[in-house]
Amino acid sequence: MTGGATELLRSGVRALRRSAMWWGVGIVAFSTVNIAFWPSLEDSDSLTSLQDATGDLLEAFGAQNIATPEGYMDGQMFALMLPLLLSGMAIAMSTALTAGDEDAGRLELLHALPVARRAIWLARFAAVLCSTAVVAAVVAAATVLAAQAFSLEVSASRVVAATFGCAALALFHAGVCYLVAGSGRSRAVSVGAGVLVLVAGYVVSFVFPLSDALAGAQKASPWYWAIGTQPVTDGIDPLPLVGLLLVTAALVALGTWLLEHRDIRSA
Amino acid sequence: MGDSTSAPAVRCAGVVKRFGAVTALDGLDLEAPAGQVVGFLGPNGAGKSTAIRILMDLARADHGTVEVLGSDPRHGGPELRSRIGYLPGELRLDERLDVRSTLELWSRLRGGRVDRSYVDELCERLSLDPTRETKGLSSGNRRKVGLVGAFMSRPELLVLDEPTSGIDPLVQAAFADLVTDAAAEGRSVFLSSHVLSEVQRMADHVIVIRSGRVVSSGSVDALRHLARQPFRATFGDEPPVEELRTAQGVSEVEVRGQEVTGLVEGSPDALLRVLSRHRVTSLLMPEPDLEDAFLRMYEDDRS
Repeated sequence: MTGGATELLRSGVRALRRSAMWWGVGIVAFSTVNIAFWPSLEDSDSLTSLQDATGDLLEAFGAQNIATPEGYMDGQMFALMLPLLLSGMAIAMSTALTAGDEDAGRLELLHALPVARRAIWLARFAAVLCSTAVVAAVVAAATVLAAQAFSLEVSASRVVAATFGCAALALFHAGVCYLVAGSGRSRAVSVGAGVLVLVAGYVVSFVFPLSDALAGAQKASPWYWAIGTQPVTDGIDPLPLVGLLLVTAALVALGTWLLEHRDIRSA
Repeated sequence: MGDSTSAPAVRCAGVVKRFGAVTALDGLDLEAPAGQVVGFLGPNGAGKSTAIRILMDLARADHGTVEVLGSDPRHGGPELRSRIGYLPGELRLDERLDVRSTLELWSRLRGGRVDRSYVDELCERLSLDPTRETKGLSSGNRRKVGLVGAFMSRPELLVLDEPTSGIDPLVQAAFADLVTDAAAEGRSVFLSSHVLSEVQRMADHVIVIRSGRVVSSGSVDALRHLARQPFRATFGDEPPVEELRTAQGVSEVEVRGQEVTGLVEGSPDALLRVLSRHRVTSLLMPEPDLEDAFLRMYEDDRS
């Protein structure tokens, strides 16, 4: 990596530092509070009652085995909330550094400096990647520690792998936003595209299977590629996960190509 | 890369740029000589900023050829941009960084080839406090940060879009000194403005643009020749109004008591001959008003 690229990466990470910290604090708090409720819920049999009463409906939230430690982690965190939160964070970060800064005219002078366009934008995506990885690592570590503290008996490696899967899904959505921003669209459009793909992916992965006619579409969802349906209970399948990372790389490459062939918007 | 010693600093031929139905540049042809201060003049909306953004490869021309320091900006890449200092017309700074960090980032992105003491000198000359936060800076102070960034690497070419906009007169004078210094070192300066008086002190050459086309191009001396010089003469006896009105090059003669004002175009010889035949108690002939010549160019173009 050249000095200029390192500098660009450093400035991107610095720009996201505060945002990443607050997202991290929020997600760790969410994770810890959920895990803290496990001992009382486990003793009360309320989870078993819920599982028996609602049946297939819990599948829409990846919580069909909520009475087990692994199923509780999936239902409360890894099948829905953590992917949503990490993806929301990555969408916000990716659009802030690309379309957001371009909308605000902050890229004008940067693009006139002796640095390649693609270096500026790729460094910004790399900053999103680094920030997401750091937040995911902190969340994984905090979750493992909280699970031990509150006697929630799950495999630490499963928790780490599931967090990694959620982070990969978040990066995919950051890649979608990067592609849209690279094509020259505004921050609003870029965020909208990311959120649309995020919600559509969830519906296809978790709601469609409730219908026999639509269940087959589940495998087209990036959610399914990243985490399956119960990432802690079933573990992470590395092959589709690698596929998703390759698709993300392709989105970034295409976004960069589009960027190279257009005008930079002025303020 | 082209031969920068013989190539003009900037050359555009038949450059067209459209934004949807709006034609911003309509066959722009211009040449800015190297080693000179070139004023790029035109009213708001004439296409100055669009042309400058094409020079910096921030926008791409639909048609035509562009050369900056002998290279096509689209293919010159970082190597070409390392030879250029740029100040955008609309300067927005990253408010997540303070002024010092912003300047240090730009310096490092220029490969660290920036003399830190020169940056401090620039801040001092432009009365810029580098310890300030960028958030909340006035537009004039933001412009100063941009100017330090443009000059910091002593580039071969300075491309400055409305550099003095929002800057107070004292700092404008400091900026004019910086431009003069750059020109004395043989560097090229291409600066845009919609106010001619801002550049007439600094520029050797002016290019006037209107509706995306060059209306006129030439040396400031030639423009000055085109300008009408105002005069104000006070006579000890009856003013020779008719003689003045019929003198060659004299126009818009107005009489107020013993005082006569008017304009003289070209050589003032005929005016001086008339004056020499009468008792003149005072005579004032300020610098030609290039603004007047500038506006007349537009009017000529319209007609």
